Amino acid sequence: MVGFDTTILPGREGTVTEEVALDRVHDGAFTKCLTVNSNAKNKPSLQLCMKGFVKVPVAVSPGYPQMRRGSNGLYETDLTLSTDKPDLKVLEVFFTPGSGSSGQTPWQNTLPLHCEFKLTRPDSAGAGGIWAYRLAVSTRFEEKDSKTGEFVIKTNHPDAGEVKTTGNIEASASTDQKK
Amino acid sequence: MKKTVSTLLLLGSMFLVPAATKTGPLISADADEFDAGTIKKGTVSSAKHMFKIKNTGDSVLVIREARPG
Repeated sequence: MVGFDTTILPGREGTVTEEVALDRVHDGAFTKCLTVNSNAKNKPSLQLCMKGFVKVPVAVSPGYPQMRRGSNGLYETDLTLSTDKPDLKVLEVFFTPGSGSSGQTPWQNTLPLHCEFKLTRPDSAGAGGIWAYRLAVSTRFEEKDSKTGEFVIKTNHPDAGEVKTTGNIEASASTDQKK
Repeated sequence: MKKTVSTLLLLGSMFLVPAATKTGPLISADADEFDAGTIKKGTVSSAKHMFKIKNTGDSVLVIREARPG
């Protein structure tokens, strides 16, 4: 987003405001520039840049988690949570189905799906003091169609109380193999 | 007579000199680059900065657009 004063009298000051939305910026270093076009004789086209470094308090990988049916009949996936917090705790994990599939979604199908989870802390922090926690997630899923949605992970991190990542539950086409 | 002509020339040049040094609008920014530092995602949704622009010229500066890129 950009805002600016359109006219500035001789000898006076005005402002050009640049706003960079962080959801449009990848993690790490960024540089976003503005081109200011005016009737100035010296610089009719002036470049103004904002640079910075975006740090994610709790990063989730893989970028698009997929839950698949495991041998115990539950749907499972393994996530890695990377953070500089040495005492990270996960409070709750659920999956919110989104409107990924075509057609109308019955209201029941948009209810959040509660997930069981187990967080394992690594023995030591990695490079840059980042702890790579393993988060094993599992849930009961009875439907035939796969679902796209958002995994919501609630943590005790003061800057990342709710970590979200888009993913899906890959419905198993195989029939129930219970004895 | 000669003195009158040179006086007139002098007077004329006094009017001409400011016109010759007229600069038009001139733009000057306090800084071309702003370092926002490290931003924690999740705590803020955007990074914002106000650049100060000064018109150091002698006529009105008109900013037509400020676009990303």
